[in-house]
Amino acid sequence: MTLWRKYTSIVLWGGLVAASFWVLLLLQHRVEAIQEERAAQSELLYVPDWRVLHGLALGDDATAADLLWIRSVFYISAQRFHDAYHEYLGVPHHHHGHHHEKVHHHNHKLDHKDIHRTDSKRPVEQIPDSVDFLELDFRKHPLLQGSLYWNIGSEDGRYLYRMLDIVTRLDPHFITPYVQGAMNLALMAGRYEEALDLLEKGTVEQPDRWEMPYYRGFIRLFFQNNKVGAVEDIQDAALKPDAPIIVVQLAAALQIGIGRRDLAVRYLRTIYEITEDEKLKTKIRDMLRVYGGGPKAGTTARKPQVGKMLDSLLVEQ
Amino acid sequence: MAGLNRIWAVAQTTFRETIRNKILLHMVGFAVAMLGLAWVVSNWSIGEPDKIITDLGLTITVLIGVLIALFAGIVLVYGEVERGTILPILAKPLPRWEFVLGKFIGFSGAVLLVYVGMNLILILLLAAVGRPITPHLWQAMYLSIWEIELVVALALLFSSFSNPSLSALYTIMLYVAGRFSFDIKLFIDSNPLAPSRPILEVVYGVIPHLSYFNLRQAAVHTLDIPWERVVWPTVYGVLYCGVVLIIAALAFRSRDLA
Repeated sequence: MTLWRKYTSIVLWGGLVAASFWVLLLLQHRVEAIQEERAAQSELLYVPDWRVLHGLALGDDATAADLLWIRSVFYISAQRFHDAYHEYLGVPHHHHGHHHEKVHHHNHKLDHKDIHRTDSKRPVEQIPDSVDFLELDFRKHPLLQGSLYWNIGSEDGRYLYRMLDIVTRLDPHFITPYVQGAMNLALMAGRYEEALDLLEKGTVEQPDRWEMPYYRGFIRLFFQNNKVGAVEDIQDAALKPDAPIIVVQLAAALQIGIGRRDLAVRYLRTIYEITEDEKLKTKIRDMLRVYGGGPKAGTTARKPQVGKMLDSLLVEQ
Repeated sequence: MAGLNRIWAVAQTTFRETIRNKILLHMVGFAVAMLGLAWVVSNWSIGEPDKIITDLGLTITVLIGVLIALFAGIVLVYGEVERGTILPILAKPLPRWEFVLGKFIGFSGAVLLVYVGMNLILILLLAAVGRPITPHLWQAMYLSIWEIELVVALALLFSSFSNPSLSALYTIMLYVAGRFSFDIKLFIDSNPLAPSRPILEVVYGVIPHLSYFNLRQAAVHTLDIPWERVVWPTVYGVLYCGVVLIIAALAFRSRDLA
């Protein structure tokens, strides 16, 4: 009898606990469904001021920056996955920066209203056409086209910028948020000025890094059609200590692209003088021969093997 | 010489007791789990995962070290008094200050052992992800030891005259204030006319300047660390621990254990 009572009690209590968990799960779903509507914005909006985070970090600001950066990555990735998912399904989808449209897709379910409401992809005409002089039709490039198709909307981009600003204030030496953050601000949200500001801040904090001026040049060239500004930035990047050879080559090629062969030659000679990198010196010697600064100017016999992209950049004006 | 032997005997006993303490075991398990989590989280970043794992790893090992120092340290003397085991110990020719010093050495050794173990795991993790193990990293880890040692000394001080709850509260308060020492200095320097300035200057003079021992950001970004940045904080750490231990010994000497 006692044993029977004991087992009954275990079953009853066990059942009660299981039922309570079930109710908790239901509640959880309910609360999350309410939260979902504002989650994307609020998760960024309610990030405290950087001074507060600095206080909470108790001196380990870099760790706080890491965690906040990971949160930004989640946000960026969620948006990318969200779009990529619809692209994979062949379901056209546009954000237009309207948050309520995105809410329908958080559970990755198809919303038929969206299928009828939006057209297939961003029209090709809307993609900035700023690289014609390079004879590179980047509109046909699937990766770049895909990048332009990822769109978090300008408003959400504002929150992303705020988050990136906090991350870089907490850890000014953390390079990835400047570069990746700026590129995502530009590509996904079309917030070019903020992207440039972020990279400028990175340049001030890290004056010896080539990445910041390089990506500034990239944004100016591809999105703002500012060829001269882009050349200045990429040239600046090429002068940094650890700049890869391709940056030097690109800077020279861009100068040719804007019709300043003289500048390109002078610039390459300057780099040749200051660099101690023998590999780079060899490359520059080859480039100078092609650009007219060397003994065999204009010949194709010693044309540098710098890849297809540079070859296409070297087309005469 | 006899005094040293007595101190050593207390230290050995305290070391063994601490190593057997369940809190320590749980904290070590927690630290390993957290380091594993740091590795997972670092992979979520778009770039510089090795930077993130180094940051998180260094912070986790220090925090776990501080937590062990805090939770095991606040019962160091109090536990002996509560259990009554202090009476037969002090019945022997053992001055109270020797008892306090022995406790500090033994407990510090145990915490240090755990901290070194956690950092070895971190080093293995960093090597596995291809992060170069630079001298900066060793310097940061070394100075963090003094941060933990200061917490050990403070916990021991409060444990010598107060109960565990209050000891924990006082130690945490001083720890947080110590972490903010650099900001307090900034506030004092930038607000010369603030009415709170005299109070803050006193606070700034008394609190442990734990920000001196934080080289983690410099280590992660391999920034230049001049030798003075390591040597002077070490001297400061030794002196601060010494002063706290003297106060602890004085407080324990005047305590009525009957």
